[in-house]
Amino acid sequence: MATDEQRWIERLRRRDEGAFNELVRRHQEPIFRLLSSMLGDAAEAEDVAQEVFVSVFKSIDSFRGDAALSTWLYRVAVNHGKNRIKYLARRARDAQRPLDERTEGQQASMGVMGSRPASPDQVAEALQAEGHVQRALSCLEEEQRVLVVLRDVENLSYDEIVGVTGLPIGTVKSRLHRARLALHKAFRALSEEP
Amino acid sequence: MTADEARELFSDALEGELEPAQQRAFEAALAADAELRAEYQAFQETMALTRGLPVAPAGDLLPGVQRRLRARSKGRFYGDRFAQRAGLGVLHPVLLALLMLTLLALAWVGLEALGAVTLPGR
Repeated sequence: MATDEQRWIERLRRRDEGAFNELVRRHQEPIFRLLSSMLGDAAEAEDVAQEVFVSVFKSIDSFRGDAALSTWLYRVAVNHGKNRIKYLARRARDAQRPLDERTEGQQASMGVMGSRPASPDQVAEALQAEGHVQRALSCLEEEQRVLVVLRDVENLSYDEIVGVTGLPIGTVKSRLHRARLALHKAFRALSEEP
Repeated sequence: MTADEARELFSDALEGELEPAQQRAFEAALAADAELRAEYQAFQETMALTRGLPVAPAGDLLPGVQRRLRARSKGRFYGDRFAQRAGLGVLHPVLLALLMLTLLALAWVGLEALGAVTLPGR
């Protein structure tokens, strides 16, 4: 007997607009978060996230059901995110600009580091550290960035990361370790800038 | 365990994935080397910052997704249902207005013919 999930996926395959609306509402938050962390820019993330869902609408037939739908969505989003990173690099867009805007623009709505620093100095210090981490992330090669974002920002399990990237678990772990070391090195370099 | 060997275990130690024997050797290496200890502490701090990175909440993506699908499918999906059924496309508001005017004019003529309406000056 077909489960609710299977029936829902069948509706998606028939391009049922109601089912697709539900898909967007259910998954827009994690997909946006993933892309926002990958790209470091909320506007770019929103644009790419919309493209991800358009692409999903068109290619839902290629979802074989051998992984969870959310894993498949992450895979589609990661591919779109990588393509956008390449596109932005080709356009030689100044990587600094959106990060600075993000740091300044989001502090009021999101708080700083999820806590309530007691003094303006602490707020400034925490904001600066956040900015450095985000910049350090954007310095990583795209594959390294994806792994750090999936594991350390999105908190995906190793099994889920294997599903998204298609890499063996040992490769995921070793590449993630290299990525973290590269991130740490870039962060230290940025923190020591005058 | 050498310092380089310990550095290779930073991620596993962070994830709490070291075997008990490895964990003991790792801790002994840190205890014996202040520089290595500071390196691991700094690594932990960087990863804590990364894990705490704030991300702005997503706005509602659905209207934008629907617009894109409507445009790219040329109205096949997320189109205006009434216009699609009537086959009138983008002209339907104009045609509706013309239809309304025609009905009003016919009603007026009908009422006048019945003598129910008297124009001023007649």
